[in-house]
Amino acid sequence: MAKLYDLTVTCRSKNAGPFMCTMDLFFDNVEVYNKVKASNIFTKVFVADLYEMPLKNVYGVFYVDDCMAIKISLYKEYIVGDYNNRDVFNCMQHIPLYDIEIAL
Amino acid sequence: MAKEFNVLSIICHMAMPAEKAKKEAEKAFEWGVDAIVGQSNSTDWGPYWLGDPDCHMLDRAQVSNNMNVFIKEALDHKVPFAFSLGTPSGSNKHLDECLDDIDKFARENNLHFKIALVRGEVSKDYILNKLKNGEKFKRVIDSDRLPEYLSEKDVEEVNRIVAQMGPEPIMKALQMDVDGVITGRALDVGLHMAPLLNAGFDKGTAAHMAKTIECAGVCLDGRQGFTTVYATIGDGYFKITTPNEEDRASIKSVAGHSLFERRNPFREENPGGYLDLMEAVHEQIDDKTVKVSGGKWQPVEPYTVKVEGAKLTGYRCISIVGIREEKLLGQLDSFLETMRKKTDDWLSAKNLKAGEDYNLNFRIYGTDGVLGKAEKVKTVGHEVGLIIEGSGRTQEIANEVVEYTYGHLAYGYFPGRKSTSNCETPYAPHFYQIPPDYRFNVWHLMPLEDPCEPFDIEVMEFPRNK
Repeated sequence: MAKLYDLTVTCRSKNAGPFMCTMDLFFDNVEVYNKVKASNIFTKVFVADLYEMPLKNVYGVFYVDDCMAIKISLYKEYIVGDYNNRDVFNCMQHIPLYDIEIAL
Repeated sequence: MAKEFNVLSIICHMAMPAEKAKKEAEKAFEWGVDAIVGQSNSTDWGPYWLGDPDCHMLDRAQVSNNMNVFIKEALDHKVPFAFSLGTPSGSNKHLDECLDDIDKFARENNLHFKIALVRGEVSKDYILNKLKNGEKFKRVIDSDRLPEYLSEKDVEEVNRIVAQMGPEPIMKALQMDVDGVITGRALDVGLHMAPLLNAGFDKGTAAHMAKTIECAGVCLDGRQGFTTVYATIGDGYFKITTPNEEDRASIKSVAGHSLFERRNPFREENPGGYLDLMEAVHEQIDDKTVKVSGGKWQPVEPYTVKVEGAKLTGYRCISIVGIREEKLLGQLDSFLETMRKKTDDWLSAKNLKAGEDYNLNFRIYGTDGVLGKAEKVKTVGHEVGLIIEGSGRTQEIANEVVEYTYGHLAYGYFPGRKSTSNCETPYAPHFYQIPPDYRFNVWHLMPLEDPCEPFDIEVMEFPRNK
């Protein structure tokens, strides 16, 4: 088992417009990328649970083989203008991805 | 159609010192430049900049630095420029601040030039008239935070509206007898597409190149927004490199950039169609250069542009305190609940209701400030930073929420307390008004028969007559 923190070369999150958060995981080893892809860990249910969000808020999970990247996009529950919003740029939302373990 | 067309791309509000910028520009001109393009408006910094009628532009010194360097380079080399300004909202107020700085530069350096100015702000009446005539503006994305269709009430609630122009008005402006084009709110991709479409290149390749270079050096290995990018479009392909000596384009940096800040890596909605990247191909052709092909344009009707507006959601006040007492840290949740109840009781006696007239929020750095309910780590350290946040229908209400809560939080009893005060206060005064909060409530698609209809083009000569 290995953590995505160690398997990824870049793991980031950012706004995709004011209403969505998008996360990218980049790998630099094609075998590792294929193993993560084959594990099928990033189902919509898994992502919704990880972020404690309703299922309908998961926009999609994409596999970009050309650059060995996985993208996860979410509709945000809270946005700027909500008094209890946090992370205005949505650039710290990738943290929960770090500890996910994959069997290699 | 020319065989190839070369663009030097910058981000107008990300500036390096003038001498470094000139060095990169001169290197690019040795290779040959057909247009200098740079964007400088974005909603990424949030709705305040568009919503608030009084706030000034952002990054004024950086925009000024870059305009001074790159407008002069363009004039010296007789090459057109196209910059979207009014950082960051693209509103008339912010655009006029940029134009004032450009005017000052022209005056001080005895430069004479003409621009085509394309404003992106539209009047509320313009939008209201369309809505009254039964036109339907659908929300840009299916977030349940947006009304599905724009209503007149939504428009009335904002101070101003901008429309994010596509390439067409900029193409028209570039064809006029001017030295360059300056716009207000514009689509970054559309801005970069305009000179490429004027030069006759296909829309799919033009849109793909525009999307790649619209953040300048962010598509390079170094990922620095203030590094310039040199891009060349040809028949069905484009190439990316940089005149910066230390940086380079790699397959990873260019392909990876197409994921940046985008919800879908394969498809991007644009006015009049979408860019389909399912068959994008990247090739490293030398150490610093990547060649890209395969982007396709899929037309969609009707042609639409996004209109943006932001409404006020609350006046705000905050106080930051440090909590260091172990006994209090061990019972923080229940203590804060008690504090909340005290404030709610005090304000309800004045007929002020939580959730309607005000909101009280505790933001705790050291427990779950960054991730909220997604936080998995449950241990608490020896100290937390706590922000008491009040938002209210009026500034006075917001202030009172914080003043009252602070008083009880700083001195209120908790079981097992050994001292007589509960927190550290870093600043005097101990509470501070911050700018009001706004939310994007207008984020809808305006159908247009003529892509240029909302965007008047004005020729402006610099220096301007006083």
